[in-house]
Amino acid sequence: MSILYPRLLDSAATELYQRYQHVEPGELTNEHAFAHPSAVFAATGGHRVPREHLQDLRERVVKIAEEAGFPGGGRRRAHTDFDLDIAKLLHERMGLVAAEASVRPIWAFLALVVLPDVSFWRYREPTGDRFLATDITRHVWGRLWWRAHLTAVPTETDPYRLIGTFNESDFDQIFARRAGLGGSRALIRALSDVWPSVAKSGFADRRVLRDVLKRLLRTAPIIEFDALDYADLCDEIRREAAASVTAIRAEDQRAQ
Amino acid sequence: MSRAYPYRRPPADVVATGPWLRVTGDSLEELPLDLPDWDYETILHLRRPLRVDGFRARQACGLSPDSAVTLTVVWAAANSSLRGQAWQGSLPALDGAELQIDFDLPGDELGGRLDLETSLILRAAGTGSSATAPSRPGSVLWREVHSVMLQGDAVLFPLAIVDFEQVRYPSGAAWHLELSEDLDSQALGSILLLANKRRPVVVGALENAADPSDADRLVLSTVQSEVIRSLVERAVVDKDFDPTHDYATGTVGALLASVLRATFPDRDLDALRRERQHEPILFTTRLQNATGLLAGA
Repeated sequence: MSILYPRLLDSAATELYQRYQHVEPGELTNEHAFAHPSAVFAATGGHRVPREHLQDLRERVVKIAEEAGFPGGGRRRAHTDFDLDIAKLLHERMGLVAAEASVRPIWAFLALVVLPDVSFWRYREPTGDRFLATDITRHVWGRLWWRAHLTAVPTETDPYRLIGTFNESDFDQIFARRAGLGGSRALIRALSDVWPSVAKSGFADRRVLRDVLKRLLRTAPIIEFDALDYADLCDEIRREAAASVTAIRAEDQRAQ
Repeated sequence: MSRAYPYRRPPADVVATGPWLRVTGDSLEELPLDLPDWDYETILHLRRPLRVDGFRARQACGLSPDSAVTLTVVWAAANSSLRGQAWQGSLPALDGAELQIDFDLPGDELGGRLDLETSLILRAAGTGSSATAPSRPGSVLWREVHSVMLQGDAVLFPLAIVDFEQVRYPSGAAWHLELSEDLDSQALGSILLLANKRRPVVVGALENAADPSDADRLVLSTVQSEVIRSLVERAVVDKDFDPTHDYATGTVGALLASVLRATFPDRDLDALRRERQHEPILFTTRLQNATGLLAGA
């Protein structure tokens, strides 16, 4: 069953964002709400999220945040674990379908109306795109739902076992290139699955990843990744990774 | 522009495609280009008959007859930017093979434009294949794309009925078009048509859009014309908008460029900007003409 979330209109989102920037996260707890006059439902198919569902979601997010130090300052490590726990929670509990999860104003509603305190705790000195409806790949909550969605393997006992393969900034590299990679969940899952076992010959993970992504992007128009069975797909990624390592080594040798 | 493939490919006529068919209960009908009643809970049951010359296709690519080739269908959804495999079957090394694609496509990953990509894909090159033949598993030998619009216009201009006093727009206005200021943001989610609950004539017409009365048609024609006018005005007024810029597919910039092209195919943006500035009344009249205001009423 798909659940529809309200879309927070741009003007209201900008106003809330500007107002909340100057308030301590702990004090923003008083500002949270489950509805807003400028949050509207589009008349498309699906069930409108009930207030109790939003309440339950908020309680669960706050609980995980408290375990990570909210409302005080969390350590970087605590934020990493927090992000992964929240990614699973949002993906499991929100009842969103992918097309609705692409609608950015629903994430502005979640960040600025339902969870303003936790949002501003997670990003103490945020830029607007962390909260507003501008870029899901940067949004405090939207990017986490998508991280879970793109790496989830629903048929496995632990469907989220691949969610932590990449750190935040490395996954951002993949997410930002999602459209170029053809939006293929199979490809992103396989990449997450084989990455730990890829021989990087001592080169920095990020450097190899960037090069692999570049190669996959170049290949995507002539190789149909979604036609490959899983073993072949993993082999293709290993092969591109090996080519990347060779190219990086040659580049370094030339530079010496 | 055709893509350069680094390997030999077969001529297009190795595949004779039949129509995409939709199975509903016991009935079978050709898949229409628009499915306005589709929603996320719809499961599309689709079929397609094809006749494929599998031997000739291999031969034309320089592949030996024992090469493994598949007939594959991949779905791609514009709204979610996702894609995935819908169906796959082996392609025998025979000419004139009658094949039937048949699969269920759940709605939870879809929305907006649905592309159904039918392809011949190399799975493994056989022994004795030519050096110029495709060799990598997954190589696309032949591809054809069929597009269907799911949800009709609703997906392009989702509608919300609200009380304008509550959303802080002028409470006597009939409607308002929400549109992101960021030309590079995705249009989906950046556009929302708000109708004022306090204007029942407009709300009623929009709610009856699938089966409008004559009175509803007048209102719908006006709203449609005004929506296009708002988009054209935005394109004309926004100094950052450049119709020659290569905006990514699905962005607000791409939408504005497309609306501008469709509305004024023979006029460039500078001419429109000058006219709007110096002859605003004529500009408005031109927009009425281009959008066919009340033409079908």
